Amino acid sequence: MYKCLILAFLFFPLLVKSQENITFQQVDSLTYQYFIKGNWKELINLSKRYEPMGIQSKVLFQRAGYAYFVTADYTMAREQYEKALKFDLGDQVTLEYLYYCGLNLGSQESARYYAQNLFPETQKRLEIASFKAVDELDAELNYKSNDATTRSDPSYYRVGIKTQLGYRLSLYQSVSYYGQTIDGSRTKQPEYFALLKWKVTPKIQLKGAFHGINTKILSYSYPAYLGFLGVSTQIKRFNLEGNVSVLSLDTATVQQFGIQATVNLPGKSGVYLTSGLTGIAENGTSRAVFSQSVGLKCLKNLWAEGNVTLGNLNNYNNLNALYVYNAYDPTVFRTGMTLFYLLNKHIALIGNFTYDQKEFGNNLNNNQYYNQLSLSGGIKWKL
Amino acid sequence: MRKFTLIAGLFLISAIAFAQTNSELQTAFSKSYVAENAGNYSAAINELKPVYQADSYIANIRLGWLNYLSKQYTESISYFEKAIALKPYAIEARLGCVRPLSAIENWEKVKSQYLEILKIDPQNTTTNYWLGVIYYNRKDYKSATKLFEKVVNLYPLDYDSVIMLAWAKLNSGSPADAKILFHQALIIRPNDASALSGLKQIN
Repeated sequence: MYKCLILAFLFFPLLVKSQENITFQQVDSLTYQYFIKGNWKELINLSKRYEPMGIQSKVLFQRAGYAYFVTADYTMAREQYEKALKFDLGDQVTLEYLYYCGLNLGSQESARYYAQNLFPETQKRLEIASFKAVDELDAELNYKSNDATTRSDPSYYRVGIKTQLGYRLSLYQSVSYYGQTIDGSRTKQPEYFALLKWKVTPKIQLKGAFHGINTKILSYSYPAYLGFLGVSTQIKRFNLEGNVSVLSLDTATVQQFGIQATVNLPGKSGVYLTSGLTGIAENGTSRAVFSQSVGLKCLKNLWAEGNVTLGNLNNYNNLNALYVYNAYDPTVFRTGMTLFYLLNKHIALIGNFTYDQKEFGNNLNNNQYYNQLSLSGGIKWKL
Repeated sequence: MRKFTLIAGLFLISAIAFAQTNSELQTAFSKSYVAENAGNYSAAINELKPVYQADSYIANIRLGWLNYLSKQYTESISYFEKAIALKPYAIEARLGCVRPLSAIENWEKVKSQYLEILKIDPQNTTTNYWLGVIYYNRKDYKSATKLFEKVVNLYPLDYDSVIMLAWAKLNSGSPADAKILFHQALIIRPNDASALSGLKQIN
């Protein structure tokens, strides 16, 4: 037994040494064999060893990138292909896989950033154009039900259109309507929303949005305007975002500052976690809102996302200010679940269930709450 | 007299030291050439290691080359880069560096080295041709045309440059110029498949 141990100690340095001395030729040959045989696990493990030793080449990064891509780790695949791209900015294979990585990671902006350097015939094959007046249409219908006798069940619907202004610039516009009767008074609220996204570099994106709201109660109008600015960046598995917005109401100005982090975990289920912390300053007071969501791929074409939001959501906005929570009764707790089903290459169906705990907005019922459930159905059509 | 003896002594010591170093260098290089010719690149590298000095241009070039031959591309690039730093106007060091960079397909750095060479020697034929090939592969036909034209002006009978210029002209929307060049290529190399294929596309 002791002899075995002694032998193991004697040979251990040799084993370590042999691993350290792996040559470019060996790596090239091994990765090629693993690639041909589809031995993705070994290829990934080997890539973790040779890369820190300075053994790097375009084709080695491409092989490792493909291994990650096939095993559905699109974040790591993107990282490897990004390294390959540094060797050859015009490499069409690298660019095409970076395009697919972007799509699989749910970032059309990132995909299009790389697609701009693809050859015209490839762009044609992938149906990518610099300008597209109608790139995407979407619609959303929402039904809410609550247990408050003085509040009617609210209704909300929305339609949107996305325009590609260039490979790195897109414009999303949406009109929506919210209606509810409160204490016998009907509230009607048509809205207009515009979001401009600019992919400055592959890793940095700037966003600017405008949201116009015209709340009408009986014969009175209460217009509100919101301006939003955001910047997001991608660091390995993390997507980090910072944003600021100002909502100008008749009675107050609401400032909102938010930070958000998303992490994409490895694995075929594509689990991702998003945490957001928002500070809201209004009428000399401030408060915090915390949101957490987790999503994963359940089936081949089905994704599920659960979320919870804690804090007083009065005049809070989220999803790049697409939704502004300016209802008369503020939400103080929210949780829900969304399902995304990819029907085919062009159509995605979205279903959402949300529970809101709401606080009565009038002074008579302070610290009194009621419950509201909502069901949404949506469709997204990529042309 | 004492001062003279001291200076003469120091000179003699330096001369002996230089002679020894020079002789050691010659021996090491000689042994390295023998090992290289025998295809034993590791031995060729090892022969030079004891006499290697970081500020020696020739030693860096030689080690860059031998490491390239033994497919140690990262080391090779590092030695060639040291040589370039020592003699920034030496084209051979940059052309040497291009080899390991090409082996690992780092075309961005290859392109940078070629552009540096063209700053030093704008008429460098090898560089104009291969940089033209890089642009051609990226479908930047106008940039490729400019470079191939330079080579064809210097060497009108060089088949490779003529045929590449013909294809670059054709792809950049100058079929008339391309036709003349394809015919020229057929004179240099009769029945050339590439030239015939190009003419077929034009006609």
